[in-house]
Amino acid sequence: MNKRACEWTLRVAVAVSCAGVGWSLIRWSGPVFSLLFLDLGWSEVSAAHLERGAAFALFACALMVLIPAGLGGPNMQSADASLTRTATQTRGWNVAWVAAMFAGAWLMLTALAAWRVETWAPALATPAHGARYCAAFALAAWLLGRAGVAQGLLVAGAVATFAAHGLEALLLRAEFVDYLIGAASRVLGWRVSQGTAESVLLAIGVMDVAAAALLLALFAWRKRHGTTRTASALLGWMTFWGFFTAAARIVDMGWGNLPEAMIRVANGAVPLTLLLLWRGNPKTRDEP
Amino acid sequence: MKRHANILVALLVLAAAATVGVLTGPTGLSDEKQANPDPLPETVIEGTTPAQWRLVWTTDPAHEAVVGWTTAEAAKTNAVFFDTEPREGALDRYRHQQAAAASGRYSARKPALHYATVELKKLKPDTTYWFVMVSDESVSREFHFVTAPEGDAEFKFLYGGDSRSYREPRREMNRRLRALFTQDPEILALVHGGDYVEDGDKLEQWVEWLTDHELTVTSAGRMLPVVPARGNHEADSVIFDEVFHNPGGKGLNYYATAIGSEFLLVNLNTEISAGGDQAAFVETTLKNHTTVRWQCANYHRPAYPAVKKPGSALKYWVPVFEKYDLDVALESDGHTYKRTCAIRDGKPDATGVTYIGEGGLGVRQRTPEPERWYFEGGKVGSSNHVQKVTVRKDKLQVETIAENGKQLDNWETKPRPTRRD
Repeated sequence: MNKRACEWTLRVAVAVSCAGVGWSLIRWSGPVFSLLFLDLGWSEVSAAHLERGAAFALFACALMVLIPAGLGGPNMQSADASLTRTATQTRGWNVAWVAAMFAGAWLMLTALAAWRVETWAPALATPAHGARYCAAFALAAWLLGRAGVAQGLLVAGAVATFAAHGLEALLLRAEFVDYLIGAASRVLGWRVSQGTAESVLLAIGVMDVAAAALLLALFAWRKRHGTTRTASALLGWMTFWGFFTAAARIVDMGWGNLPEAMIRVANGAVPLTLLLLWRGNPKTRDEP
Repeated sequence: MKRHANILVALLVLAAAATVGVLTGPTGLSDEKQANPDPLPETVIEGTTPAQWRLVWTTDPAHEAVVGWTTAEAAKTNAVFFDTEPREGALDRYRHQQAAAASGRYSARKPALHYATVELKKLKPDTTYWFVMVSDESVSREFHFVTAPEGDAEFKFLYGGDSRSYREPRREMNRRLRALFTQDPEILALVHGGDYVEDGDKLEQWVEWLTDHELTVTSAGRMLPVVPARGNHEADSVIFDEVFHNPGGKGLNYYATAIGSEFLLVNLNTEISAGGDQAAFVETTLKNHTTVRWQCANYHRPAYPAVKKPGSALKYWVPVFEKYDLDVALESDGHTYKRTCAIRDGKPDATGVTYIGEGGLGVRQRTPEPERWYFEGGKVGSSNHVQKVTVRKDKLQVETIAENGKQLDNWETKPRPTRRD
């Protein structure tokens, strides 16, 4: 049951991310356009059409990653089989796998383009997107039956995203300060000063970096000792926080910002997948 | 075999979707590529000879100005000698001199260059000042500038943003600024909406910008003051503050510029929190100036963009602008030119605020989205440009002028009847 839940959590997360990115590209364009047009000298029409083509392909991906086993070609016979590397693994080469690989490649390209075009702490842009592209690549690995690779990618994605966001918080990213001020005003009716918001943000930054470091440590620990309650509690927290911060985009700027929240669904879905995976499979490595 | 067929089908579906996307894409986009330009000459910076001069206005341009420059070597002393009469560089004839308020090496590993900035204070309004920059024994040529007027004055200023990335268009626009400045002595200053360079942490790009900025000086030596705002490409760059002498405070860079008694320009920083101290500053400043006839704001990321998504100004500043009946908000960042309809409460309203600008001081232009609701009754297009703002007692006029001098838009508004209540 947990294996199926893991797979479908990832499938839905990648689908929602793809739809959010596609929607955002059509509404506003993205960093790939900026890179091609402004930095690399492409013509506007070429850069815009490439991005729009990618947006529609991502919409197709959003549907294709949801095609279950048995449709769109032979797939794994059961979710449990996904944890083993057997001769049947090649059955995973199906429509959903192709879609996951394309989504992962585009999301990674976007993350690399963001590194080139972002002007504030650009080095953090690529790891900050980590959960998105790692979720897609992890799904692709999962569909091939490579659960160990999928697990590693999920851990890497969660660690990268939480560490990068934590560092951005410690550097007092202006956008985050305004999220706190806006959320306090809109949800609680409190008028929070910038100083207070910055203090809270520093605490959040420490928390995020600590969560990333702890997850990495627990991942290593788990290989010998299995899943602990600490790991479950940590992943539970990261799941909540990932979804909460994604939803903060809507709280801050209203439903018009829905694509931004959808893009970040993986921030919560990746730790959730790990939680489901680890709870249902205490020591994956030792599985027969 | 079947596996390959599945992959092929999936790839075909993706290709088909992408093709649909391309075929239904926006039309009218430019197909012009941008080749890497040949390197352009830079100002020779040698020894302690003052080079790459700039004049900065912030809060009180009738009485204060900042003169800044660059030297190759660190000078022991940096000063400005100035007077209300031309002295042709004879230092002993200038009646005033002022030592540098700040100097040092720019915050960059390379190139190794130094800055000096001098605060001129207690100046007389509406007065021409002649000055030279002196670093050790090296003296610049003589320049002059005119301080802002006092009282209920009529004047003009230029507004523009986004002068990054491509030097030749930037130099072309700077020549246009100089032509306008030369032809029309009523023009007092350039209000810059940010994004001077592509990477604000790279001094070599600032060196190029400052070299090109020299083109705005008239042949008679009149210097065009800059009222700077920080753009996203300056992000948290320290060099921005070194070039412009911490306008509005180091790293903060928000302040109000009063020109005469009836014009207020609120310069804001979209690269720091908009909803915190800055929101309070906007509220307090506009509240304290409710009787000032003309009120404008200048900031980088737009609230009503022509191509991108709105910045945080929309949520935190626009309600305050509307509350205090701001006349015009000057915005950059989009690489288009634009004028929205008057907007209040998120819809067209003749009593609302008009948003003008979007940045074209020599940056590659995008194709805007004229179908956005706020351009109905407004104007939007794609061309490098500068806005010439004419401030009169009975009207405020904004002309959008292309790099070839052609007028792209001409709009004016009357004083608000509520202003004197």
